[in-house]
Amino acid sequence: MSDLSEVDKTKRLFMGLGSIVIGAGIGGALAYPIFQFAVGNALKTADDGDSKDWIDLGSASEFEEGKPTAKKITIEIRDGWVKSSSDETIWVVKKGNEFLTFTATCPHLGCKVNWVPERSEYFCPCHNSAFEVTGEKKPGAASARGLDTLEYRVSDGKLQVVFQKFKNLLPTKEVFS
Amino acid sequence: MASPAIPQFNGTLGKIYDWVDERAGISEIMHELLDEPIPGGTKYAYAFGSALLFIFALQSITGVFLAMYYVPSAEDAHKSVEYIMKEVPFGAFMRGMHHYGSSAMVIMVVLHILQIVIWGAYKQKRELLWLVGAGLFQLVLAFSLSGYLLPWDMKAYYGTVVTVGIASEVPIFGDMIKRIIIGGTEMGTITISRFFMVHVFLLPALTAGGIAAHLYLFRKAQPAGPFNMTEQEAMFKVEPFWPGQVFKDAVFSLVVFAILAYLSFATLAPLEPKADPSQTQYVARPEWYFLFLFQLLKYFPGSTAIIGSLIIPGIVMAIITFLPFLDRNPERHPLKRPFVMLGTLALLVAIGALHLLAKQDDNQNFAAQLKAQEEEGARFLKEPFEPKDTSQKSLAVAPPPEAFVKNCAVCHGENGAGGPAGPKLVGIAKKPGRSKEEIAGLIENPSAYDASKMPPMPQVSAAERAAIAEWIHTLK
Repeated sequence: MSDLSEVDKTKRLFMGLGSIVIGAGIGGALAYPIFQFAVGNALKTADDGDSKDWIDLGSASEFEEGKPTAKKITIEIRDGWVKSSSDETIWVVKKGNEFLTFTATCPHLGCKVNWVPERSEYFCPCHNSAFEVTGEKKPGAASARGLDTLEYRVSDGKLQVVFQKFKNLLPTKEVFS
Repeated sequence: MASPAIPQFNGTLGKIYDWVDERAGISEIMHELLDEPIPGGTKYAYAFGSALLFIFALQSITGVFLAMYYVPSAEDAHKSVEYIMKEVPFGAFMRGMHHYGSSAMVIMVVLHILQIVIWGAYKQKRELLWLVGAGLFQLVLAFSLSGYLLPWDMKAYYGTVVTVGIASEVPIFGDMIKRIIIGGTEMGTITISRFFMVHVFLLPALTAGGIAAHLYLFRKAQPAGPFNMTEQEAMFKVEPFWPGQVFKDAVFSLVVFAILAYLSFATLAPLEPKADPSQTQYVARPEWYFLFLFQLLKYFPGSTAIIGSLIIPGIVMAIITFLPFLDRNPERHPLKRPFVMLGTLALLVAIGALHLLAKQDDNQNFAAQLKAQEEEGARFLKEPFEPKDTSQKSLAVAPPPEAFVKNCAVCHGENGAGGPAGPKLVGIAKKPGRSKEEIAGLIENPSAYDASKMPPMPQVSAAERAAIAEWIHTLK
């Protein structure tokens, strides 16, 4: 074994390298499809077209001036091979003829904010972010921006919003989906 | 001893290697794994075992990733497989590799066994090695049977109905065994869940353990070498496992991989419509490598059925399993072992003949239905993917009008989901030429609206036609 001829050495080198190349080739040929498969449709965005999906929040006249009101909405979601419904909460504040419509999702890391009447603030229990009734962040909030407003309109006396999700952490509002 | 298999590095790389080696003992393991002497030299004939290991690794990898999307329930199994096939990038490829890989596994295990039998390599204190191998062979078949159900399409459902039926032929305990296998009296979510657990947790664990034992016992017994050389001659021509045999194994595995990848790209792995227990025309057939067993059942009618389904296969399996104990003659040359060689040949001929008879019977008696099923499966795979709708909108659909229940439901299903004689109506409103007015017109005069297979419905009044069309348009 220790006295390998030059021919044998070349042969052994060829077979050794050949085995490694074949192994790496098969691994590489598998890695790409597997990576694509594992990512799946995670990076695809639902194709809604341009039409906005207006969701009813109820009669515009029923909201009390200046008092945050929670409204549950039901949105349609596509969850893999299932089309299903999911509930979300919208905070609505009436200001004269205008409305403030906030998503209840904290812009920090995505927990849900609740209205605390005693302290007159929206409060996120995850990292103690507090927001004014107008949605601006209070000093000391972990969030980099205030609550995210949703586009609204009043149509046939009904208050309607377009529901969207926004990116976490950023100082300005950017649409996530 | 300096091992030729162990890389020699100089400089920094060498220092890093030495540092790791002192602590992890890589050189020792590499020497143990790679310098194994192969008496009589390396051969492509010895590549089947390695190829089996390779395919098992492929099945494990593709299986793990398929489990990212697959859901083991009667409600979702079929839809999730359809989603993999139609919506996930490279989903059809991954399922194809797993599907064709299962056939490759069975083919390779048979080739591996044949090679060992022809070479007489189960002799000379290799009984344990063979026994573990026989166990692994049965695990491969168990993988096949348990995986067959998981897509929950027509063939999966009826194939498993038959398999479970065979299990229930066991005297006295048959019904109990059947109930334990399917988890009750009806095949459904509990059945899928059980098969899934067996297929992805239990069998892989047992197989991994079996492979470890098999490889250990193989190294302990050492390769048997050629049958036409004396031990001294074989030791004179000895070659190490690395790199000669590894290279031959790698080339062979590459060929297997190339064939599987080609099949997966070129031919979609079959998926039929979802299991429908009410379907009476369906002709159930097992996977092709079980066709001979299926044919055997036909020769044992009534109360003798157990002979074909359990007794004969059981005896054959027992003979295979205990072969080293039955054949104790140390002679290894195949031409000097007429009994085992002729027995093996007879078994292969019998399997081949039964397979051909099964094909012939199907061609004569079921050709049209089998072709229709195949076309139905191909059509289903081409259909665009429709997600399962569980949104509140879909739940809010009103019950069908009475006229629909009376006149249409027989063919189109009670909820318009389609039936054996009529297409599904769900989603049909989106298609061109199917406005409410056109649907009402179609009910009155089907052939005018490109639905000549449907009989005209003169008994349905104009008001009823409008109500039915209105309702059909709510189906999504």
